[in-house]
Amino acid sequence: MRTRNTFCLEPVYFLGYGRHLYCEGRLSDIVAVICSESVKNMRERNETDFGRLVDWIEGNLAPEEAAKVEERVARAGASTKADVEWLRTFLNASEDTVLATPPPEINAALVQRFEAYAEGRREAGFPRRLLATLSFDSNLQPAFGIRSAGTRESHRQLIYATEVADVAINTFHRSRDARFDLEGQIFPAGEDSENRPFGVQLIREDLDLGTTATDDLGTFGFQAVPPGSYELLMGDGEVEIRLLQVDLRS
Amino acid sequence: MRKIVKIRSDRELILACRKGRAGAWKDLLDKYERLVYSIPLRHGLSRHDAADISQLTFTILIQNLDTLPDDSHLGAWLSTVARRHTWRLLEHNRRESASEHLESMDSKGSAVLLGKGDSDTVEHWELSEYLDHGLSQLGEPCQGLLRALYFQPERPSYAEISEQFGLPLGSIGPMRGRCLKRLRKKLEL
Repeated sequence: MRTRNTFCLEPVYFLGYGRHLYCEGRLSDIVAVICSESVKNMRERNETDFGRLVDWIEGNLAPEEAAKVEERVARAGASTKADVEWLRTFLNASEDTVLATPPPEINAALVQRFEAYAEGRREAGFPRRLLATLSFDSNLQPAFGIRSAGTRESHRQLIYATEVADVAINTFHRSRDARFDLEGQIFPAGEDSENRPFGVQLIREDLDLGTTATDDLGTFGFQAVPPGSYELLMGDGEVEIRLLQVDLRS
Repeated sequence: MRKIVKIRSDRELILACRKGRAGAWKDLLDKYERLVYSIPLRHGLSRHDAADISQLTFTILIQNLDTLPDDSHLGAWLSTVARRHTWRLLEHNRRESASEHLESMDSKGSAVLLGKGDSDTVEHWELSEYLDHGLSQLGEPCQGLLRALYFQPERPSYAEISEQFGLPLGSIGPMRGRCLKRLRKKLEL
């Protein structure tokens, strides 16, 4: 809702009903500027607050008040009538529907039971080895590089693709020590689109310089990496994805 | 980086579970555990019995994961298994009850055994799934409040809700209206 020296006579619960109201004015000189839909119009169309409709349909109103709402609904616009229809359908459906949450022990026991099933699955076979191909390099795009006055001076983005996942790599050159921060994210592709944990190794000349793991969003990172050409190896036991020649140079 | 939330299809869940992915199994439980647990409750069984039937139903699913067709509708499959075991237990209880109190069996008891009218149809199951999905999209306290007010086997009073959620008694009515309105919007999406 937009306001400017706002003074609106109507209770707050009318606001946000369908379209927004825009009222302006002063206490001494009340001028309500109606931009999209006015309370007056709402009344003229006999529209009723949603909460009031719930009370009415559930039979929580005193008889006199219920009669007033009923009369208003009878003369109401399509919006209120649709609300009433939806609420009646919902309340009918909920009368015969139970959606209780089981105790957490059930969930825990079933997770354990699945583990026994899954254990055998994970042991089967060797991981598939996939070599990722570079599909995007921001250094090869005009005017893509981002420069700022912060500690991480320049930014480069690389996107690698494999048949099971895409990998995004962002490298940031640190002006303070001429090293790089490397951030990545694995995006599983196709039907096999679960974000599952991967171990990630940073390798240079066959030496393991660092190991980390993805979080539940598939992101990982290495900080203060010296300039050079690296290989990234990421695996989850089923697949192994290799990214060759990840160059960190200013 | 930006979080990408994806609701996986039954086919995706089945394929991932077969590969032993714990995350997929957790998602599957999250998607269906309330619906399965609710079937015995709707037939008047205790929460203890409902818990046993839930465990049994999902255990049978694990045992059948390898032979289940990839495009199975898990909701329908699970509901069939849960219903079968609910009826079995009801029948067992009825037999025990009949042998102990043969004379007290009345038509009401038989009606319970047969289920509550339309509540066992595929349409009702789909409606339950639809409502559960909509409720799952709501944040708290709306989700908890609506579940407690409208979808528990025992409908609690406002006083009980007030105590359970730590909300002032007078705020429950207006909040319920706002939450229902939000649910409507979610279900329309």
